[in-house]
Amino acid sequence: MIYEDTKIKEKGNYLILKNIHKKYGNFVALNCLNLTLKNGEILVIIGPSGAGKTTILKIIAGLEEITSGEVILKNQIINDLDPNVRKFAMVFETYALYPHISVYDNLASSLSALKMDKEIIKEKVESISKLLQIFPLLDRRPNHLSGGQRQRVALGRALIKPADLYLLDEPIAHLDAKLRHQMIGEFAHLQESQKLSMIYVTHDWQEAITLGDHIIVLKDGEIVQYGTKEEIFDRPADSFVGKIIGDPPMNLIPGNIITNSDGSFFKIDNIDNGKIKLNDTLIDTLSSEKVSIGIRPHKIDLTTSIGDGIQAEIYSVERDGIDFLISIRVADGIYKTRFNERKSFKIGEKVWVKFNLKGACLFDRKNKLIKVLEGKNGK
Amino acid sequence: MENKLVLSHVYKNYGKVEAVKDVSFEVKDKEFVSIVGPSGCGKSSTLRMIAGLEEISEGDILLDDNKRINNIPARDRNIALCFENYALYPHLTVANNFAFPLQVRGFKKKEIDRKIESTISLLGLEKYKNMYPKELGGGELQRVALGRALIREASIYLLDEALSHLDTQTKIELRSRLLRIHKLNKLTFILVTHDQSEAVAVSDRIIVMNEGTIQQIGKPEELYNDPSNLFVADFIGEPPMNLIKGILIYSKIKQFIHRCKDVDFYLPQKAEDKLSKYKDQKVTMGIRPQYINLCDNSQPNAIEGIVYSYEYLGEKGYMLLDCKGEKILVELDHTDYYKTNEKVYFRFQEKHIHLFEPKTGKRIL
Repeated sequence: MIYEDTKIKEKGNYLILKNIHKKYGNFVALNCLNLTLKNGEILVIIGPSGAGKTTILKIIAGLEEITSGEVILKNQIINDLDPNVRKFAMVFETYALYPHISVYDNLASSLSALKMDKEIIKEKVESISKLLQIFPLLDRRPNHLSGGQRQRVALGRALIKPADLYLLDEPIAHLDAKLRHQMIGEFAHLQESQKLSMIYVTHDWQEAITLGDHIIVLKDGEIVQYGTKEEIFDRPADSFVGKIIGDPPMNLIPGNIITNSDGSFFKIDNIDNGKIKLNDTLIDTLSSEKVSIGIRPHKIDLTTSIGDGIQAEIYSVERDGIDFLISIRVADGIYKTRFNERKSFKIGEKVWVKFNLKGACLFDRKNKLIKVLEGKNGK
Repeated sequence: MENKLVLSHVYKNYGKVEAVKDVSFEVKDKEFVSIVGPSGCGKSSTLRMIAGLEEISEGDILLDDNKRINNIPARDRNIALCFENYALYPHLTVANNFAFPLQVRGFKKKEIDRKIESTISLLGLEKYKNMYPKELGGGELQRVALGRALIREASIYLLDEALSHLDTQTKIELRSRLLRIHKLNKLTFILVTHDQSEAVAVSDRIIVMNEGTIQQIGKPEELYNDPSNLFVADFIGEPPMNLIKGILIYSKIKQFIHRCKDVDFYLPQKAEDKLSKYKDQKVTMGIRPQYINLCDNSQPNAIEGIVYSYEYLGEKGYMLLDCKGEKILVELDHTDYYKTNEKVYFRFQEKHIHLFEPKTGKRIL
């Protein structure tokens, strides 16, 4: 069936999911989901477990029936298309490899099925296995490999074959930190140079904002935000997005807005001297509203000399590689700050806190973003 | 500071396999020391010998006032243990799991109650006090297991991969808690872990082990900036140090150069004395991504690279550069956008350049 909605067609969308609902009995797994993917683009879906990430991939792959809605690829509705005739390549978290044949044959099998020339297959197997650092393992069988090695073989088997769409479910989740970092670099290069159309599911924010041209943040079967990496990091739609991106995540400080003749202030809950001047012109209706400020760890500065800032207590001091992470307690909240030099703070010590509000996020009582403070494009 | 624990030339043999070879170190009173290394490096065997769960093949272990404990059975050593598999009593509540080891040791009920209260508040377990292990999640179970070790007044507390299997958020939360308990209660901790970033996060000093031997003992920043060999350089730090293989050449302009695939990396001039005897030999250069800076091509010793991939992380970024086939990772403290195949120039911070002998791993600069 040809898809007729010219408005969506004109944008050059390659894959469209339109009003997708998925129910398991009474449980709503996906609630009116809409997404689009352009040709040659990588879309990353991030969310906690149970958000419905894998269900989306399975629906696109045709492995899961849709309760209602449409999946459209290259202007064709493919809801009822047999999964076997969809030219998709997939990697799921459980890596279904053929146990009785070598890694080489596992990688080559899909190309042999296409009756590709043996020499070309050999070339392709070697190049993908070098990229994924499994070249020395080509003669081994999957059951003689570690989990991380098997995962890379499964990834190689998906990437080696020409496909309309690549669907990847946590493809590097089981690798150790160092290898994962290298794989992210290789993967980003491969995708950008070959312009593969991909949907990539992960729970890891670093993978998400490194790889995604666009990112979808998913929660309880609904899209919380769709945006570029910069939008997701700098303008999170709500505090959930702020918390899921970043390590350590965004600090959320509860309080309310006070406006008097001196201007507007953010008053932190449960402390006496907890007022921070706001330089933004705020809508009057925000006054005395319950809000929270989301601030990234490197935007909080600490000093031991008595200042006009807010008083806090050092809660813990630890290292993050060559940086330092210092947790502070303000009222009943614990917030993390990051420094790239050693500060000689002791646990329990009193310090004064300076919040650099440029770029901080103001959230309303329902945790939705009101505006980015002191930003150029504040709403 | 006085020594709490001393290991002196300790060996552990399983048949012909030497799992631990000539390990010596001391842990000071109130110190937080981690033993870190890949699986099979001997770190757990070392811990088990300290705990008394494993016989010592050779050497001595001294506790408190240099008292030799080799032949003292585990239960009589004043050492508390916390393992990665929680080993809790399933039929007892959290509070009773805490009480049991104290009852066995003959503590009075009043004393036990007081200790339980303080341990529960220390670990933030108030809500879970009367729950059973099967009703708890991984993070809470690990806290209960920690609590059962901490409730004892021991000379030293041994933690075996005690944080390894928790999700990131829980791990970070529990890590801060553990650090507070260590500092505020003035306890002596030894943590065994395979995760170098965890060891770096919490430790006063770190012992790096590989293949049964100690590779280096030092403060986290010493391991970062002053690794004693190639193993430590590669093991500590995430993302890892760039390790670039090449040949050491003395150039016509009388300067040492590390040459790798036709790319010349100039080495600090004052290092000549250390380098001269390695002239024309194969060496491996090491530099951390943090110590490489982008620059323009007019700068002395600027090296050309092609952007292979770019990793945006919000507050900072990483860029993988291709230098005639050699890949070099650079950390950026800003997030300007770089395109694949764009040409850039960079230089190394001289004092952070290391050279290693590739065969032995020995550091020469």
